[in-house]
Amino acid sequence: MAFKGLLDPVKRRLGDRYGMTLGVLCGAVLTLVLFAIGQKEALVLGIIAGASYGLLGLGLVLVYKSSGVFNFAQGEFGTVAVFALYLATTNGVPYVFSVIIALIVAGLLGLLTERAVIRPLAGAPRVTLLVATAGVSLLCIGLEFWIAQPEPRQVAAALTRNDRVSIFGIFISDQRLLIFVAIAVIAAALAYFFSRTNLGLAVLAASQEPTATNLVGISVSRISTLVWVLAAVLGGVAGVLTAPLFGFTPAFLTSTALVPAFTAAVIGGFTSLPGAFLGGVIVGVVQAVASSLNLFDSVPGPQTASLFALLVLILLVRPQGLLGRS
Amino acid sequence: MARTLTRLKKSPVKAAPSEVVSTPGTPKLDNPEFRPSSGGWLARGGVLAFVAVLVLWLGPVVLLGSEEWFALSLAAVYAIIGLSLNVLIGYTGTISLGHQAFVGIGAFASAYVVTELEQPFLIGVLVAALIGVAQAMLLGGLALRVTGLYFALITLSYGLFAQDTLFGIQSITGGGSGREAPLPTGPDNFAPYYFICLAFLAGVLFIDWRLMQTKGGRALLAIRENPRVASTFGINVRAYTVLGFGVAGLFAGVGGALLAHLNGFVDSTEFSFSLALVFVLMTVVGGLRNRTGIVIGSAFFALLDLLIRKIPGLDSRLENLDTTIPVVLLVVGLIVAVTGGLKKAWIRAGIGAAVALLAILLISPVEVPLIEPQIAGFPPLVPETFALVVGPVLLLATLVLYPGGIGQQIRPIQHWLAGNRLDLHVGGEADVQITDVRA
Repeated sequence: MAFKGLLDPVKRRLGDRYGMTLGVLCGAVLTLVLFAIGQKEALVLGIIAGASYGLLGLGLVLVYKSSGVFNFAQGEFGTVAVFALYLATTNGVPYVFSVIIALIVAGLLGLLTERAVIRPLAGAPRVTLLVATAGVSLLCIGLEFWIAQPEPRQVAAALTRNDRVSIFGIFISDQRLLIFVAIAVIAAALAYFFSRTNLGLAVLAASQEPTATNLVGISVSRISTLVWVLAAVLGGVAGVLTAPLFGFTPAFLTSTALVPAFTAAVIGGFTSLPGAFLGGVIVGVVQAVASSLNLFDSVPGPQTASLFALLVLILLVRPQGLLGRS
Repeated sequence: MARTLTRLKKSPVKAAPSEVVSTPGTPKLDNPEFRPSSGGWLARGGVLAFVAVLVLWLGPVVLLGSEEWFALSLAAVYAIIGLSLNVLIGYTGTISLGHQAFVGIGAFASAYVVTELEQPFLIGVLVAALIGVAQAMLLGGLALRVTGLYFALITLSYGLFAQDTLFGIQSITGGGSGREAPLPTGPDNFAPYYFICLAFLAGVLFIDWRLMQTKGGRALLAIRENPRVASTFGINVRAYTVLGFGVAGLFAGVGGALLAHLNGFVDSTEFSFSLALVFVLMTVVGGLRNRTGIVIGSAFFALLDLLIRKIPGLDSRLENLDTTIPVVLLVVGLIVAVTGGLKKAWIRAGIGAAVALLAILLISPVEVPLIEPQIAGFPPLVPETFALVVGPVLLLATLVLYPGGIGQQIRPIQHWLAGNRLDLHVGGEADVQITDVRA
């Protein structure tokens, strides 16, 4: 490989910002190409869809950062919250309180998961934990199907106006904008939490050196509880914000958004909170372009095909992701 | 020389008492001199013969309907698929969350060969097996670069990709309308087909057994423990990882072909992500690296639907209670029994109380009020969809309480059948971990 060392000076110069620069450059090139071939609508649609993926991805990153687990139950934390929201609103509870109830339910589910599944498996191989979280997810899905049957339902949106903002002739509803606001606020808050607060640092310490962390007087098991409750509430936020867009069915977040969210987190580097958002946008744009281009006309399922290709490509070329550190 | 050395190792060397004491947790060393009496052998043979009768002959006597034959054939097919997944998770230590792709590719391959190319059924299975091997080896090549959790993610994405894209290619799979896959034994004639499936299951079990008895199997286990250490011992990590995937693909291809012809047709909606999760469930619940356990676990999940549909209406009195409640009770009982919860006293007490309550409800003259469980805003609960809850509960109970699954529960029986003394404590948790350091 003659080109192997070609970028080394640049890498050394940029240090940690190399991945970020790479991402921005790729994004810029992609944007230019999309404009050149007349796909600017796909860009907007992709960014919109990507925001939902990023929101779910934040919860995945939070759990991975603090316990090294791929949380397959993240989507179900959101779906269960949506079911709670639906139950509360149909039984006449005002919207704001319904949302609060939904988030509390999600938090309780996170607590239950941690107590019943994660804690007994402390020290188990990570793949076991992965299967266990998939089991939690399946259990939630099974209960949802059992209780609610597979028919689609609608749940009220927080904001209902649809024609306030438009870019390239595509109207973006206020609920969509709210997702962007939520993702920005949550990412900023989590970044602050992990870098500036004692508790956040304790969480990181517990993930890296559990025994030593216990020795200096920080309860690792309490931190684990905190992380799972927080992640479940984040999943709840993602569910409550995205369910009104298309309506919901049992398992709707797991089946539509979980794999894109994982891909988003992988692209972002799985430890980087802004990376989850960036990855979400990349996934969204790639999917939107793949389904709108005629290139894939002969191939069915362009969205999943492009997602699979993107995931394999990222893991082979840059396994640490764009913003992650190797 | 080497031969004498192995003989020496196998010969009954008396271990020093201190050594035995120093390894708590492992079962006591069996007396190698122990040989069952002729009565003991007779008892063991009797148990084996009973199992053989149950599998081979009881069907025609008790279960006559084609529905039951279908379910039994499905159990055999699921067992093949479970063994395929066991090669990946149990032997090579890589998890596959996209096994519906492995199975589906075999199903479509066989259906295409039989209906479009008009070849006989066995050729269809053969082609399905070969294509299964090829696609699994391609994916295995990827597993050399990406390992652990990230590879699990790739398999997940691969499964969805196969479901949406590969199985949607009009010319091969028939697109949305699917493809016919006629039953080789004539329409709706499931009884002979069950024995064909059993024959294939026996073949798969034989290959699996021989694989684990030879160098290849030991190499796979070594790689699962630690690829780097394995390679320093001269094991070709790349070749054996790809071999492991090839064997898994072979089993899955055969299983897929049998499944296609059992169902009569194949279409892409059948091979969804939830099917892949059922495969993982039955393999883990069955007990990794335990062939018998996996066959039992897979059969359990294949027959679960039938069980739940057949049981309601046990008694006219019980019908008065909504059918949901007995089904839930029964399934909870099954779960407890399968996962070994019976070893705990409080669980036994709880079951006793539940049974007593049910008995009182059945014999008391009091009219049982109609109970229809329902949550406000949702339709009434029905037992048909309850099967979806059973699997995950079993999985979680297995992981948290009994990591060896059914395989761990039946270890003492297997141990006894192999000609040892009955020891209820055989089968520790050390050899039943799901997977090791590869993550």
